[in-house]
Amino acid sequence: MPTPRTTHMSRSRDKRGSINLTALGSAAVIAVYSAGYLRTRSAARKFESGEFDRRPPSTATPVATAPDSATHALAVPTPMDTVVMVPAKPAAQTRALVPTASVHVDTTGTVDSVPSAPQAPAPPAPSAPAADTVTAVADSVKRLKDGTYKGWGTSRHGDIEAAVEIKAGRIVNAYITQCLTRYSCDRIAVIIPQVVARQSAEVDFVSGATQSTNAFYYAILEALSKAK
Amino acid sequence: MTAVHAHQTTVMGTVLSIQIVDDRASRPARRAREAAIERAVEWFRRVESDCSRFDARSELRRLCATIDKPIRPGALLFQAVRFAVAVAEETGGAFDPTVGAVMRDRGFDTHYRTGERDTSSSTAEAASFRDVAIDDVARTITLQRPLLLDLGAVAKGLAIDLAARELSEYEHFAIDAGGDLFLAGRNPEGEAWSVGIRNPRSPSETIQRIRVGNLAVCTSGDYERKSVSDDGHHLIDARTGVSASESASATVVASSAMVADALATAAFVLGPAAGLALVKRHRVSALIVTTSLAVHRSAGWEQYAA
Repeated sequence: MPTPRTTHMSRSRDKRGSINLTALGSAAVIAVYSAGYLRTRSAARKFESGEFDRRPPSTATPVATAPDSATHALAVPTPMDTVVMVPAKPAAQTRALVPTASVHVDTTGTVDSVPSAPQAPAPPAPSAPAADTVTAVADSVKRLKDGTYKGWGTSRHGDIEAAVEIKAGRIVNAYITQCLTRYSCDRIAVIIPQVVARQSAEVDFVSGATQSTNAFYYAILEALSKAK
Repeated sequence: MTAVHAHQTTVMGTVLSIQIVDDRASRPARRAREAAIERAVEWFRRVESDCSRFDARSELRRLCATIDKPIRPGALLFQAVRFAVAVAEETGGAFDPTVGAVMRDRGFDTHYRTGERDTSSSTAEAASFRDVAIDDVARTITLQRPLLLDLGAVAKGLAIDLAARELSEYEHFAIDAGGDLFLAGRNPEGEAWSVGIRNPRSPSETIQRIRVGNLAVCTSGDYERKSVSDDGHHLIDARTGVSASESASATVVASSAMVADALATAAFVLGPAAGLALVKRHRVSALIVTTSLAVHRSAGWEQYAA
């Protein structure tokens, strides 16, 4: 059954009635981007302005689900792609991009948190003073009451409930008890052990799972606040 | 220049890889890149969520549940459907986002209102893109018969273009959504991005390498692995209902992924002769490989030869 199309893309047609798909595509993207722009932008602004920033500037190395430097070859699965990326140069030749060494120091002296990015031969950019981070860690290691404490953290993608177990004043275990986020909490599994390792809620960001990381952080923070 | 941020995730049934080339090492610069990539990936998730044919709660499915009544969907779904229907018109239906014929063959012949089995369905025309009425002024879509829209080729291209727009503050980046690409600026070596066009019958070999900047490169091929729930029907010639059999792959280079993705699919279905004519009419470039491994290039293709 033919459909009358008097109002269909009448402005996008040329003399022969052919539709300019390039123009139509551009217009479509602009229309969709503008319509959805505010929602993603306001959340992104918060992220950039530091509303989600939860610690003083430190040299913490974000734990990326993909390597954050050209020293790792981009792991694009070969069967699917038609792009052959030029192979990355070895670490020695890259200019400064590798983040400076993590200076998270466990004041108990037993565990050192190792940065995930490769160490540059010489850190090129000036690093934030190590003292800041040491102080932050030290501050968080106050005497905690023994027991198991839970807390909730919230994010744009949903909430997380986490628990910490305190024994002899130390965090001996930390885990997620409820994962209500839209995306699986598997994404942030890698940082959960950092709570014990660092004896604090100051876990790294997981690239691509910023929201879940924050929710977990706040959950641990709340849990720890109950232990003080 | 050095690549500073690479991110991989799985979305829309494929592996998405985003790489920003930027040599600023400061923490704020790094955070800005992470935030930009997060926003770019979020566009893919939004497109997937709105346009999913398989998630019963998707806006697409809800649109398809209403017949003969104008619906005003969100901007994303409206533009995707509108574009898909436009490509269908331009290809005479060889590319058709409706899967009515397939549905009918699968027994979807029950009257949508009364629930009675519709005995006339065997003689009635299969649903086609002509049953999708789009009103640009009111911004509504009206489905004139039961049909299921599949926005596969259009949705991915749209997502890539939205993601690229999100990264537009950066001069150099690459978006790779399962082999469909948008490449901006230059690669980490400071040279034009290099893309290998895969031999459809020997995936580890490339037929040709091209160099592009600020362009999308999308390929439709009969060798592609799609998501498990995709029956690959968009490579069916909707005019005949059977798989397009002349082409093994079609690659299109265009200024946007929406155009490249849809026209690659259309060119694949149409075969080399009609496919290249379509490509020429829309001023994009294409390379089509037939099942007998003959390579057909559009007039503008060689400008990209590496």
